[in-house]
This record gives sequence, structure tokens and C-alpha cells, in this order.
Amino acid sequence: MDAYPAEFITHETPLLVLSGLGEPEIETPEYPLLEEGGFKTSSQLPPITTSAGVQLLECFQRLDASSGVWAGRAERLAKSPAFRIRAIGRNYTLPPRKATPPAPEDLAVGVDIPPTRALHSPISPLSPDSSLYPDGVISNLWLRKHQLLLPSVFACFYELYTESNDGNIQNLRDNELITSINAAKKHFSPTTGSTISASIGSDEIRSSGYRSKFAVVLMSDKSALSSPRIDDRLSYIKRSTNLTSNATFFFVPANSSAVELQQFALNFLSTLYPLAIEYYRDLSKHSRRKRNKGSVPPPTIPSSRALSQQAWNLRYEFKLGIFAEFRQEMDIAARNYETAYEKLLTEVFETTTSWSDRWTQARLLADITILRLIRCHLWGEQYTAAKRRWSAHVAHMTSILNRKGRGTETYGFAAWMSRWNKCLGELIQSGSFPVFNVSVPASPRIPMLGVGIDGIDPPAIYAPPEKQISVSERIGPQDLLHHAGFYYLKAAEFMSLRVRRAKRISVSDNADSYDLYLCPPPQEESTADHNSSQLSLLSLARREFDSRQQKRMVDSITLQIAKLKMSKAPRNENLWGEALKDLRPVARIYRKEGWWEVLEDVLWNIVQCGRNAGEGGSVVIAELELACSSVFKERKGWRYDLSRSLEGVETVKVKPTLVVRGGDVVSFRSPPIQMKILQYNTRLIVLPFTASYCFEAPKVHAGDPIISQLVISSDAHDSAAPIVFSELKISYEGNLRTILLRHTSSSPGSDSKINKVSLRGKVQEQIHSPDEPLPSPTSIKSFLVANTDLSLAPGETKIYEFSSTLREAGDAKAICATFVMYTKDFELDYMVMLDTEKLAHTAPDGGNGIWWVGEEGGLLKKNPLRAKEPGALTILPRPPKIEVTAKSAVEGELYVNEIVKIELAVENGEEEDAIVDIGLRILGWPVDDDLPSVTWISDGVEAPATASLYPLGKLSPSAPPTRRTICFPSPSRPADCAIEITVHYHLVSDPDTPIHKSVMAEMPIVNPFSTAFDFSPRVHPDPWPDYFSLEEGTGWENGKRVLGIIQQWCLTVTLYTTGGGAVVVENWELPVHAVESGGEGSVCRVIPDETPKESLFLDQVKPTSLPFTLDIQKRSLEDRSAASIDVTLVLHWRRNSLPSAPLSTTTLTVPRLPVPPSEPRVLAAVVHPSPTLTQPLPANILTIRYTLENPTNYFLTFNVLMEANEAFAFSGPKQILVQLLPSSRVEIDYRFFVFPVPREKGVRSEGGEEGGRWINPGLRVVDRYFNKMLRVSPGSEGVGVGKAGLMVWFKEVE
Amino acid sequence: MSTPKIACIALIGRNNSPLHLHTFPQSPTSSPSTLKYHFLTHATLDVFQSRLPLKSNGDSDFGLLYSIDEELAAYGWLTNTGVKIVVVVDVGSGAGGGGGGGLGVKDGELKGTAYIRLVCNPFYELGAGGAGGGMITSKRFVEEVKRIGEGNTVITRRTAASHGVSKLKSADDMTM
Repeated sequence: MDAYPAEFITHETPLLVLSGLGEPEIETPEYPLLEEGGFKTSSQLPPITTSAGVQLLECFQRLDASSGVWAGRAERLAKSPAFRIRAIGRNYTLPPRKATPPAPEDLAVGVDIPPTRALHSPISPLSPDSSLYPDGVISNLWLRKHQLLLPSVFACFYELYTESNDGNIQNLRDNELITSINAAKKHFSPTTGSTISASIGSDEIRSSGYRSKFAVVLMSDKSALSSPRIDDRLSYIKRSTNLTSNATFFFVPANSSAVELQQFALNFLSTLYPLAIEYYRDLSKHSRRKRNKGSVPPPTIPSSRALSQQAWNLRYEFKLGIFAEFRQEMDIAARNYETAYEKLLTEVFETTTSWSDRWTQARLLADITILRLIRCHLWGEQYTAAKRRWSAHVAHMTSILNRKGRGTETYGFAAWMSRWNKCLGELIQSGSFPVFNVSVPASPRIPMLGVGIDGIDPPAIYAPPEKQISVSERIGPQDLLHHAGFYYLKAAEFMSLRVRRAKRISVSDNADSYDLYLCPPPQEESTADHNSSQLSLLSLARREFDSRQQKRMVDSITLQIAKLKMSKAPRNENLWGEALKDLRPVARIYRKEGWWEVLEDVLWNIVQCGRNAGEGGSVVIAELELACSSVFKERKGWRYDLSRSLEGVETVKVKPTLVVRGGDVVSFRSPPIQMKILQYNTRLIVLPFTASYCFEAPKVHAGDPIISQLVISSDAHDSAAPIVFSELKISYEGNLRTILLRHTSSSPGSDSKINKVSLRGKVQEQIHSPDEPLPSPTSIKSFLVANTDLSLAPGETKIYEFSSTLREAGDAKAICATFVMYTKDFELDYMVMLDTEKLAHTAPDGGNGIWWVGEEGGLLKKNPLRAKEPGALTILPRPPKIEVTAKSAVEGELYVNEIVKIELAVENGEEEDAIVDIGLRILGWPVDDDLPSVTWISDGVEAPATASLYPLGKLSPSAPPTRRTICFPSPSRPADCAIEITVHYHLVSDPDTPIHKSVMAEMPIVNPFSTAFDFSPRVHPDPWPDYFSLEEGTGWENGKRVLGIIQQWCLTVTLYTTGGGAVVVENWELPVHAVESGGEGSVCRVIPDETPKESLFLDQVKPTSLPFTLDIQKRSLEDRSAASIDVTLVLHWRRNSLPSAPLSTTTLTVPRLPVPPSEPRVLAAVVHPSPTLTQPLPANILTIRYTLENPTNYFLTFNVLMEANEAFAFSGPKQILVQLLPSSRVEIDYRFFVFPVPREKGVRSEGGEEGGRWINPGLRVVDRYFNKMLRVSPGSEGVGVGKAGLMVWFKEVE
Repeated sequence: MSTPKIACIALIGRNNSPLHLHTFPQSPTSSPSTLKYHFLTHATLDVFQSRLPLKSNGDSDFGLLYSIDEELAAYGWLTNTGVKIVVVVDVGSGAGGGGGGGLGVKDGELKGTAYIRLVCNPFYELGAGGAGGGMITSKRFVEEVKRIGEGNTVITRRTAASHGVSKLKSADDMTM
């Protein structure tokens, strides 16, 4: 907007002139005849210089709205007072109302001088001295008059005399004050119109005729207390000057605080503001009246050219608009401007000679009017209306210019468009509208869409259309007001258009054919430099976009800025470097997002800048990138040769060393300048070649060869020279050693595009120098070197195949390949990350890797690698070759409670001597048993038990197996154990590589004994106590008499072994642990066998029974409660196969043995015929003795009946009545004659077993009194209980 | 006074890389004007990015992104696969006819161009499979974009709307 006179674009605010405050102004605004014809208000009284006065002035200055008019917009909308405040000291000159009458010699000869000359304002088009004379419409001077010279309110500040309390002096001073006030006031007293016109030039005239409001402020230095008459004096002054208290007459009491002064200033302004508005309303009325009069006022000197009626109306409309703006009535102002603009278009442009000065002024006025109009719309937040007005003006201007001949193809038009865009941008920016406010979430547009992530709306790109605009009305995208950045950007664009057009100016061109509106003539223009203004416009735009997070837009503007700097750079060498600095970050985003065509443009610019600025590094990198044919086009005639890219570039003084990491950071190093490192944050660089690394197999054993391939393929342009790397380094993570390839040029090989170079066995070991940093902390210090051809022709794929051997297990991974180029101009290290790097333009193929199969120089074939990560390798441990065998000393399962012996045999299957240790671990041991201590026996000699490893010493490969025996006791309960034997060894030649091998042997521990228990009663051989000796008892318990009836029971243990090996039980015991019974308790003892057996042989086939006879006796005869006996069976045994082995002891649990309560019972026992019989009984005679016992104290009677049976005949009582006394028993013998059963071959009779059969004698014993049948229990061997009751074993005689 | 017409159609992948860019009338590739559209469409990504948090569902009409100047305006869509479609519309050189003559394009009309989604279908597989590297080279796709760009220059508002609906429906059928 600075292209226009400042007054034209100033935002109007009522003018308040403060007289008597501050210093006299040094510079007064220029105005014609101001000094000569102005009305001087002066006073002898000095301006107030007291501290209160200075403070008050400061308050006013704070409230001054002359600069930031838009800043106070909110308050203005709230009708709070805003004044442009001028403090002028004391004396002030008001602008003259009338121009001086023209001197006679100025008049053209022959013109009739009218008798009465109508004098007009010196700036009126009617006054001959005015610049507007005779047909100008309006000038900025008129605006200046109202903005700066002619106040709406003229306020005089005086100090009340309080220095002495002398009444006379006070009166004197007060009168002086009154005189001065009245003198000043007279200037602004409304006088009748006649006096104004009649007495021009007369010194008598005192009033200026301006209707500015007048106010007086009195300040006192002393308070009313010290100066008691102060109120009287004030009212006297007020009366004498005819002023109204608190309306036009104000008093600032002494000793007012800063807050009070501020408050006074505010009150003062608010009181005066309506007056000021009224003042401008009066002016509006005046203008409107003149407009409505509809006649052209007569000029001071008649002229042939004069302003037309329409033009006068335009002038009035414009003035009305301005006055409305003073009153802050923007909508009214907008209407006036609309009318004025229309009149301009329809009248002035058409009637004024085209391209004349007046026509140009009209253009200026049109611009100004529209600008003010836009401002009015913006004030009301009618953004779309504002933007439409702006666009419409462009359209009008375009059409007018086209019609008037010079058209829009001129640099002048471009200049105007640029300016016009910039003006809009500035207007938007100065308004700081809530819509475009970046920090405050103001836009009310999106509440229904919900809030964003952080609840803050994104910065508005454009203002939404107003609600007033009806739906049917079409709102185009260009009707929406965007933020200022867009307009600055457009302004810059037009500026560059202007530059381009200016370049086309030829020297011979006539200035008349150009549109020179606010532009220099062509000759000047063609040499003018608009670069800086373009730059500043772009910077403005960039700032706006940047604040709205339009980063990509910012980058594209930065690119434009850089290009501008480059175009200027031939004259200023530094600009190359500056442009380069701009370009580098710009390239980043395009590279990141893959906008190759744009990036290409940027990169070429970088090359140019770098070459000129001497930044060799940038050149090399950019050229490296540009060689990439898959995304960049080949530039015709460009020499694509990276190694010679800096050839002939003299600006590069320092040989650049570039370290480019494919990952994140690229650093520049220039060794001579003390390792100055510039951060060059390029995410990744587009490479004209790709590198990939694969292992043939994802898993390999230590010691086996590891075969891998590095594949590099070129993507350079066909015309490019082959890239020759000086070195190529592959770094690994893990145990693999870094491989360094050095270039040696070889004879040109085949023309094939795919070449394989086998480097198997061609690498040599070298040691890293200690000061060199390792590529990875886990890397190994030594590395492998090979010499090979490292050149890569365009489109060529080279496969380097390596083979290496690793001795240690672990993971390895190829991390990065570093391509190194040393040329005489630069050094380049480019690291390609092999593990994570996925270059943006490498086309992903189905497989994860490719393995090239084929001979060097021969036909090559691709095989896909399906490994998840082809660049990673797992090295499995070396397979151990030591053989371990473990063999138990016994066959079959191991038994509990025995000594386990395991024989180990270790044989060295390696090719050389090995130092071997053996570790043992027993797994699955029962939890509540302690782990056994293991004894090692070497050749019959026991070695002391070792905590960890048993050293076996050196084993040579050819030696026979080394044997050892380990011994340990087995647990006391069965368990599924296993023994793990681990051989730790290392070869004598390679002590660093521990190798281990584990052998796991199953070791089930079983209980060898399987038992069945039978607990049945027996007839005690001893007589029962009789009634006569009952008191003596049978007592054999430690001094205490035991009186109960002794019962005999027999526990029959049937033993057999379940293990593989037969067991010999040498000895056994049945310790009684507890006897549980009610009453007074019981005692129990085991009756030793009369004929102890020597030993029992147990195998899986034949069960062996082991009877134990137990006597149980209650302590009391009366005690008939049930009892139970807890016993265990302790066996001392050995394996039958190991007769010399020590006995093992196994304790077997026996179920609790129940003794039922003492009740009458019947026991059946087989009575073997006495050997003393003279005549043996026939073979099928069986004698059964039934014993009826009555342990109770009752007299019991039993019916005894032997049932008839098919299987036998019997002798004995068929049916008898048995009467039993208390505690007595009776025996009844039966003799059975068992019928022989004819045996059919192969058919076993029912109940028959080998060697005999069971017969079921049915003896019914019924308690007569209780009518209860007694069960018959077995009372000896050979008697059992079956399904049909009692069974007796009959041994068949063949 | 000129009818609004499509000046450029650009498809941008989910990682902001260009998938396809077609200018109308077709100019030889990499002419300065094509490069200009590259810059323009790239800059629209800012708006996508800043408005994205406000869009809850994947497939969104971003409407007018901004008007670049008196002639060009950029409209954007975001598909649910993250592919962005930017259509730059030439609304006619200025308000040449005066008044509201050149102010042609309504949002509804432009939505007609949403049937670009139709042609997106064959390419979805492409985009999903590839890592989003290169430009789309499918001939059929290019032809289709071209047809739309040229076709829309004469479509009136009503036909565009009906066109759009039917095309969208057919697109739905295809996806079923």
C-alpha cells in the first residue's frame, strides 16, 4: 500500500488536538498557505510542564489511535472512543479556509475578470493554485487536512495559578486565563455564514469558521485545601468563558494519582467522542447539501476545462465516505464508496483523456476507493464481499486498460497486479482477523464436525463465506478470501512477470506506448532491479504460510527465493552459498515424499549453486543422485561422470570429504578446517546404485564355510561413465569380520550386464589399526581384504561372492556396505545400510532375497531366497564329535534303594586331541529325596566326588574309549529319572572354542516288589481264660495285667517282583508301629515263624506268600471295640544276578490292618490229619473244624445247620443247637468226602484251578436269640471267602 | 467467459508420493507448466495434513483446499486407503465477463469428479502390493483419468451429479 500517498490509505479516526500539553511540534504537515493563511491560535500562557501534565500527556499518548487503527478494532466496534491525538504545545495553526485571490498577472490575458471572485479552499479544484485545478477530483491534501490539521475537538490545557494565595495575583492570573481561553475559543465559535464570506482578508476576523469542538482542561498544582478559593475561581472562569462543566470544561485536581489521571483521560475522551462524531456528522451534512444542490460552484477563475457535475458528485460521495469512516460508520462509508466508484468508472474514466495525468489520478482514486471499500467490508467481517470487490476491480481495470489500448500485457499492469495483491495481503494482515488468527481456535465453522486431536482447529486457509450470502448465489473458490500468504505469493509472481516483461523493453520503445501507472518509464524500468522487492514479498508469503503449518508451500517458496538469489548471484558471489543453504532443506521434503520431477529441478539448481559457491560436497552428492536413471531424466549433453564432477571447478578450494550415511545424517567434513562438521540432515539420498547382501543359508554350523553374496547394481543413465569405487567395505554385526574390497582395475571383461566375481579364498586377514573406530562395538578387530575390480558400469549388476569360516556360534548380520571413492577432487564415503535400508525406488520382488547361481563368467541364474532376513545369519555351534555312551550295570529297570552303577565310555571322534570334562545331572529325582552324591570309579579306584565337572583329561582320537563308572544310591521311591551326561571339551588346537555335547539317558527307578496282602483271623491255639482264673489274666505287658481275649490274625503277604531282574529276599521283618483301638487299648505282637525260611527267591513268574501271625489282645476283657494295626514290611534283598552285592533294604508300606469289634464269630479251618494217624485218611477226605466263639458276656444259643452239597458228602452234625457260655468257644468238626469230578481234557470245571478246586460248604450258624446269621470266616490256610460264601481248597489227587 | 474445466488431476499415495499426475490439456511431460502443477499439488498436502485430524472416517471429501489464484482452485479427496486425489480446476480466466460470470464451479458439481474412485479400484491392489514407490503406469488407468479430465469440461451440473451417482454406484458394484 506504500505505493499510494499515505493519507489515501490511512484509516480514519477523529482528530483531537491538545493545546497546552507537550512540546511544540517540530514538523508540521505540509499544507498550502498554512503559514500564510492559516488561523493561528496562540496564547501567552505557557504549556503545562508539571509532572501531572506530563503524566496526563502520557496517558493520552497511550490512548492515541493514530498508528494501530485496526488493533483497537474491537473497542471501536464497542463504540469506545478512539482519537488520533496530537499534542502541539501551545500554538497551533489551523488550515486556511480560502485560497489567496489570484494575482492579476497570473490571469490569462483576455479573460474577463468577473467582478466578484469566489474564493475557494486552497485545495479545491476551483482554486487556480490547487494541484487539482481545473478538473482534478480530490487530492490527498484534503485528506491530510482532516486527518492531521483540522481537529474535531480542540482541547486547551491550562494551569490554574496556585503559587500564592494572594487574591489579587490570583485574580490577575485568572483573568489572563480567561482572556486566553476566550481568544482560543473564538476560533471555533460557530459564526454566521455571512461574516465568513464577507470579511476575508480582514484582520478583524477572529473566527476560523471551523466547527471544531472546543474544550478546556484546567490543572492545578495545589489541592483545594491549600488553596481554599479554588472552587470559586473555577466557577468564575467557567462563567466568564461560557463553558459547561464536565462537557467542555474539565478540572484535574492536584495530586491526582496515575490511575486517576488515566481515568480522567478516558472520561475526557468518552465525553468528547460524541462531540467529535457530531462534528463529522455536520461535515457530512454540509457535503451532502452541496451534493444535493446539484450545481457546480463557480470557479475563482473561469476555465474552459472544469470538473463535471458527476465528478463533483463523485467528490462529494468520496468525502461523505471519508466522514462516515471518521465516525466509524463503515457500512455507510461502504455505500458512499460504492457510489463514488461507480461514478469514477462511468464518468471520469470515460470523459477524461486516456493516459493523461488526470486519468492516472482517477486510476489512483479508483484503487483508493476500492481499498477503502474492501477495508469497510473487512471491518464487518464480510470476507467474501471484500474479496469479490477486489476481484471485480481487477476485472474492471483489465477491461478498461484493454479498451484504452495499452492493454494488460505491459510491465505496468504486472506491477499494478503485484501491488494490488500485496495491498490485499497487507489489509488482511493489518486487520488481524480472528478467522486468520493462527493461535486462537476461532473458526466457528467446524464445531459440528467434532474437534481435532488436540481440540484446536487447523489454521484457516481461507475464510468461510458469510452467512448473509444466499445459498442460491454461487460462491466460486476465488470468491473466498484466503490468508495473506497467498496474496503475497501472487504479488511476487506478478513481480516476476513484471521483470520478465521489463526485459522485453527495447531501447527504441516510446514511453507513450507503456502503461506507466505508478511505474518508472521503460528505460528506467528495464534497468531497475526488482529482485529485492520480490524477495521481500516471498519472505512475507513464506512467513504467513509457515505460521499456518503449510510446510510444503513454504518449501516451494523457499525454492523460489533460492532461484531468485541464483539469478542475482552473478553479481553477488555470496548469494550462491545462500541459495544453496535454502535449497538443501527444500530437497529433503521432495526426496522424502518422492516427488522426483520436482527434486530433479532442485538438484540441478544445487549443482549450479554448489559449483559456483565452491561447495564441492553438494555438487558431488547432487550429481550422484541425478545419475539415477529410474527417477530422473537424463539431461542431454551433461557429462555424467561422478569421479570428474568437480573437474575444472575452480571455486572448490578445499577437497571435500563426504561421509554420507544412508540412515539419517550426512556430515560434511573438510579436514583442513579442523574437522568442521556441518549437519546436513538428508534422510536418504537417491542412489544410482543399489546394494544388497545375502547369505546362502540362514543357518550354518560353526566351522562350516559361510557363503554370501554382495550384489550391487547400477541404475545410472546409459551415458554415464562407470562408477569406480576405490574401496568397498562390508561391516557385520556379530562374529563375522569386516570385508574390505580394494579396487584394482582389471582388463575389461565381458560386456555382460551381470557379472559375478568369486572372492572365495581370495581374502586376506589384516588387523585394524587401534585408533580406527570400529563399525560396531561387537565387530572383530581383524578384517579381511581382497583386491578386485570395483567399477560399475551403467545398468551393470555385479555379484561378489565370499566364503568364510566361523568357529564360534552366534548371530551375525550384515549391517552396512560403505562405498568409498577417492578421487583427486573429493573423497566420498557412502554407507548403505544393509539391514534396514529399503531404498525408496527399489522395486520389491516377491522373495526376500536373491541368490545368483552360476560360475564366474558363465551364465547366471537367479534363485529366490526365502529367508526372512537374507542378510542375517545364525551360526549354530560346531557339532561335537565326541561320542559318549552310558550303560547301566544291570539289565532292565533300576530298583529303589539300591546302588546304581553306570558305566560311561567316552570316545574322541574329533581329528585331534581334546581336553574333556564331564558333567552329570540327574533329572526327575523325587522331590523329597536329597540328590545323591555321585562317586566316580576309574579302573576300580574311587575318585573323590566333585562338585561340578569330572575331569577326564586329554583324549586322543585314536585311543580306545575311556571308561568310567559312576555310582550313586537310587531313591527310596519309584521315579522317572533321567541322567544327563554333558561332555565339555575343547580341542587342543583351539582352546577358545568350547564345545559341549549332551547325552541324555532314561533311568526309570521302579519298586521291584509287588505285594498283595491278606489279613484273616485264625483260631488262637491257647485256651481262653476260664472263669476261675480270669483275674490273673494272661498279662505279659510290662507289668500291667492284660485281660482281653487273645485273637490270632494272619497277615499273608504275597510277593513277586515287577522288575526285570529276579530278586532274592534274604531277610524280612514286620515291625508293628502302632495299634489303634478304643477303650484301654490293645497290644499286638508278631508271632515268629516256627520254621523260618532261609531266603525267598522272587521273580516275575511265581508269587511267593509270606505269612505273619499276629496276636492281638485287648487290655480289658470288656473292651469290644474295633482296633487297627499299622505295620510295615521291611525286606533285605539283593539282585539274584549280583550274589555278592550288599543287601539293599526296602521298606514296603502295608495297609492298615483292621480288627473288627469282638463279637460272636465262626471260623472255619482245615484240619490237617495228624501224622500220627495209624491209617491215613482217603485222599478225598477233608476235615474242617468250625470254631464258634462267644467273646461276649452273654449266654448265646446258635442253631447250626450244614447244608447239603452236590460236591461232597459230609459227616458231622447236620443240625445241632449249640449253647455257648460267656467267653467261651466250641469246635465242631466235619469231615467232607469230596466227590471226584471227571475231568475233560482242556476244560476246566467251575471254580477249578490247577491242582485242585474250591468247594463251598454251607454252614449256617444262626443266633437263636437275635435270629441273626453269623458269617463264617476263614480261620486257616486253604480257606477263603468267595462269592458264594466260604470256600475251602480241595487238593485234587490225580 | 469460460466454462470451468479440469486443469490437472493428481493422485498422491498414502506416503505422500505422487502416483499419477495428469494435466489438461496434455502438455509434454516435464514442461515448465507441468512442473508448476507438481508444486501446486505438492503444496496441497499441507492442507490435507492439517485438516486430517478433523476427518474421522477414512473416505473423506476435503472440498476446496484453496484457490491458487483467480483461475485455479484445488479440490481434494482422501480415500480410505490413504490415497489423496487432488483436482485442480480452471474456473476461467478471471471474472472476464464481469459480474458473476466466471464464478462457475460449485462444490456439488465437483463432487461429480469423485467417480475417479471408479478408476481407483484396479489400482488399489497395486497400491497395496507395492511399497508405494513408483508412479502408476497402467495404460488403462491413464486413459481413464484422461477421459475424466476431458469429459468433465462439458458436463453440466445436473448431468455431472447424475453421472457421479451412477458411476459411484457402479463403482460400488465392482467392489462388492
